[in-house]
Amino acid sequence: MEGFVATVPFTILFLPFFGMVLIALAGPYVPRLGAAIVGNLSVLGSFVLTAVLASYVWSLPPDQQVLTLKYPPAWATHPAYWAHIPPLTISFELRIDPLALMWMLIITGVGFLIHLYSIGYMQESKWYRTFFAYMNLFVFAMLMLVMAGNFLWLLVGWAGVGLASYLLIGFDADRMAAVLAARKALIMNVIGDVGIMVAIFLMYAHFGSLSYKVVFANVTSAGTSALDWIGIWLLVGAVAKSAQLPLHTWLPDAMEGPTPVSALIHAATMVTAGVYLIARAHPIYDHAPAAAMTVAVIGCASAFVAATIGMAQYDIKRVLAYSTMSQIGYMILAVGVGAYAAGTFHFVTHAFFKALLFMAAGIIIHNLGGEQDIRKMGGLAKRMPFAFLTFLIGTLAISGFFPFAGFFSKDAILDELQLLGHPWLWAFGSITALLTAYYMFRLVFMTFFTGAYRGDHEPHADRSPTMEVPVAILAVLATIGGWLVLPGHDEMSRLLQGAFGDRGILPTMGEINWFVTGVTTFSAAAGLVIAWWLYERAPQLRRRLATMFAPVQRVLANAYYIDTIYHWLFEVPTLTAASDIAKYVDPEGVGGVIAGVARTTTGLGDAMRGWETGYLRRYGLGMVVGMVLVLAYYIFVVHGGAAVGMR
Amino acid sequence: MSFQGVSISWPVLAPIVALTAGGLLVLLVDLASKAIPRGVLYGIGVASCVAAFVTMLPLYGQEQVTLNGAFASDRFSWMFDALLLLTLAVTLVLSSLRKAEDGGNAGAYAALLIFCTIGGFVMAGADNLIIIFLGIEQLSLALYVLAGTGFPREASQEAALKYVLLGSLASGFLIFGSALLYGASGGVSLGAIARAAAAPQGLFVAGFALFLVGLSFKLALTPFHTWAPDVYEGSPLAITAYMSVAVKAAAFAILARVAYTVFGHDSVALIPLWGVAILSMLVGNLGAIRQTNLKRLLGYSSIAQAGYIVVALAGVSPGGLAAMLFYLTAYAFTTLGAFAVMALLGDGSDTYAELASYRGLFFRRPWPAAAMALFFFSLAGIPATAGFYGKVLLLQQAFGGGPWGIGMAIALVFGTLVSFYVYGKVVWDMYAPAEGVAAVPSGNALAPWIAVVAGAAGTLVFGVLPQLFYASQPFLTAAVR
Repeated sequence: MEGFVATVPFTILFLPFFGMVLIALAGPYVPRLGAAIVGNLSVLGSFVLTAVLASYVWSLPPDQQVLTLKYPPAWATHPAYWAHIPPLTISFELRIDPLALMWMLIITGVGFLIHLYSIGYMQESKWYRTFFAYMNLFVFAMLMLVMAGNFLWLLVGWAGVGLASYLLIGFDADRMAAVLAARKALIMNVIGDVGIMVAIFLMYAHFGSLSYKVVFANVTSAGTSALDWIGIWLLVGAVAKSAQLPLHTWLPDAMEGPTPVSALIHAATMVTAGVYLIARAHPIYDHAPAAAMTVAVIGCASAFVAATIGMAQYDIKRVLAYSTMSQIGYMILAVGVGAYAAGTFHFVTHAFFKALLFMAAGIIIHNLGGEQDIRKMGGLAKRMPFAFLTFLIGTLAISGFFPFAGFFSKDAILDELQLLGHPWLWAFGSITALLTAYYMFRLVFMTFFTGAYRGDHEPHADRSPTMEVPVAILAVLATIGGWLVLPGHDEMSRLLQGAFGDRGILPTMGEINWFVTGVTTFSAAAGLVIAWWLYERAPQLRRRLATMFAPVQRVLANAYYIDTIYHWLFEVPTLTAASDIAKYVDPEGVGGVIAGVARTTTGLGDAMRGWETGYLRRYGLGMVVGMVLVLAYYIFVVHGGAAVGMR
Repeated sequence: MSFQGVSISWPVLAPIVALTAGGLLVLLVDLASKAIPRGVLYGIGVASCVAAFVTMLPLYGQEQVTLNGAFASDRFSWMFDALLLLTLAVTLVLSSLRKAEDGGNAGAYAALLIFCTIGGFVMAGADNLIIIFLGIEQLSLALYVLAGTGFPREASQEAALKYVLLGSLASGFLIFGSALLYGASGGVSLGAIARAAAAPQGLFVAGFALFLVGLSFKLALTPFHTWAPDVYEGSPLAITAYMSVAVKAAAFAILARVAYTVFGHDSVALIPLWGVAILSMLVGNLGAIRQTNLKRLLGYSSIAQAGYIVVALAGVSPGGLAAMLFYLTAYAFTTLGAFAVMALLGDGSDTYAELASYRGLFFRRPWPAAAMALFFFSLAGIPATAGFYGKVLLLQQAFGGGPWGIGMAIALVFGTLVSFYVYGKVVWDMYAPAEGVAAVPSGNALAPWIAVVAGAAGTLVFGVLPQLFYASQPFLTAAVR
């Protein structure tokens, strides 16, 4: 077992990487399907190994469930580290514990399903092989992020998923919108990367190490204010990656990427990295009350704000993007108040139902020839029964209807908010639950009902098993994924106990808080009924309301104009300053010097091109002048101050 | 064995003997028949590299000084010797490609390259001013000829002539400086000079100044660098590759040995060296900005790189030597790889050195373009390449070097920033779709591919596994006596 444990995590991590290299090297020499198969098998292999590893780790007693793996291995006496920049010693360190395993299972499991789905979905893409190479790169980087045992390697994965996300958002490089969206995502994510770097510097200054083990063991040796600052800077990274206020504006634009990308990266896994980071750094947040409170408030605000925006969007993927932001808001809120297990649980169920929603939406978009505007859909329930059924399951799950997965996890978060004494956060969370049900069912009614089909061209109904099988599997998971916390079946708590200790105990159905559960269920039902009333029963009423609240609607449809504000606040001044510098300062200033030196040297070189003896003399002269200066230094400075020896 | 009071340890000289024999064999074979294929001559050359390396193996663990204390065989010289052999082998492989490289004189060319490397061996082991000068001259004289072997091209002749004339000037400084040092210290060994440095006379400081100037010329440090761009551009490609790696390595061997033997930490005597390094980093990088010829660009780049390597000596600490060797090795793999890509693509004509012909290279030849990008990233110092970690180690040394060390660190960072633009622009050009680029020669021979792959492997391995460096660090650190 020793050898198994020592090698399997590395295999899990690097299998997708080698898949990527293989696809890249084989390039055009193998048929398109070959690249897809390599991509799929490598991720499937990682998943199977992760499952085996997980069953082993969870068979250990909870207090032994943290495995630390190092490269160079422990028996290597010299050098016993990967790099050494005194006084900092760095090893390639992995940490496998229940928290990491939970993420690894979702990354490789859901990742595999989405790889499978992509075989059919990407069929018409020009860059079919490249797509699978990028997807594998993403899986590798994301695994690096969650398996790292050291903040430095976490940062490597963190930047790696940013790169993969950039490449995949801009995958259709022919479309300007996709390229601009990719750029926006990259810039916002780099802000986050810098945040984490600053946190790393602070940790190094306070603990002299970046290893989780050392940092978490000595966490109390730093003062509260230092920990608060570390927490805040980590939060900057989390906010950027997880699209929370105020760095959220890249996520809706990121929907320019292909739908499998939206499902995997911008719904199920990468955007939850912020939740992972805060849960991972929980020993820091446990001792940093101000930072933790900031986390919770930002999460709550993001959940609420995103839900309100979602009510006024017409692009099916944009609605889902805002719902992602909102649901991640719940998770961030949970980990902010210290309900780490509840946040992780919601991550798991969210991965199921959100990937499901995106992939079902992908089938619709695929069959409508790329149409994403729900105003041009309608009446699709009969035409695409499979997509309808699966999308409905996803919607019931995200809205929190019993017994679908979202019910349990959302209820767990709201329960904890009550238990830990955060009535205001709980109230906002419950209102957001109502809004969620409303905008999701609005989406369902506009897409699948509200009379006849309104689109321009007739939908075709291709059915491809590679697309439908993963969706069906996810539909099942979105239904039963929450049953891990049924009365007497508290598997989730036991799974997470090894990572969070007592914090890993979820409020189960056994100790049910009927008040909270009642309010949550009532909110979801109310959202459903309102959506139904306004879109099916009384459309006139909806139109009257829309006219009455036109300004509100406009603000929501434009996402509170935050993009516009950023444009005037950051983009315009920067671009103005840059062009001013280019216009007034540069020609004579910095650039002038550089250009001047380059001109002088190349000019000299150009002059030398012709065979001209005179210039050789100039070279010699230059050398002699240099020699005289050096000589003068020695004679006047060194020898002049003669008392000093040269040694 | 000894004669006339000189003790000679032949095993120590065995690598040099092996190389000499190889060189003579090349000449004899070439003389014997004009029908001998060029490949055979270069093959003998590569074989003599291997033979020299094998004769080095038994020396391991037996550090000694022979020829009455004039020639050292220690970890220090072995490391440089290994680097020189690697460079020689790669250069021979790259030269074997095309007639234009050797002007049709394969025998003389290969033999000269080998003799040139022997000069490098002498430099790496030299522990005495006379041996230093001998080594430098043997290396230089052979190189003067080699620079001109592309003689149908005027640029090659121009390069040779400029190199000879300016090189002679530098040798003049060097030998005059050595004479003054001898006069001041009463001995030629570095030990005697170290004793004199404790209480320097006027004669001594003047001598050391001239010595340093002569060495700076060989290293192409500003302001003694002016020959480099012209000579790099004009010489045959393989010779340019050899000059940018082997000559630098050998000259750094002398500089390091002198710095460690004669001077200590905080020595005022080395301040001009720091100043020259700072100038080199600035001029090398800034000068590269506007270049349109890749060989010339790499010429400027090598000026900057020499400036970087000096930073390793900033603290004159044992770790500095290890850092220097790591950087030199990284630089060797990277630079030889870059030249190998050029050799691969070229057909012996000069167009392959023009940057314009690299525009859109990725769409015509994706793999050479990718390899070139890797090498340029390494030269710039992007993480996951050897160049990055090399710079990390250099900066570490700079911070141990007092105010001048900090000054060099600033110059290093600034130079690196500028070089991101320089190298990034080339990569950008290679990956940007190009319309209307004239058809460029596109060779695809096996030999340079080997060098490209080896260079890429070295660049990546040293970048991803810096612990290889730490594994050898105790060995390298102990090289400082």
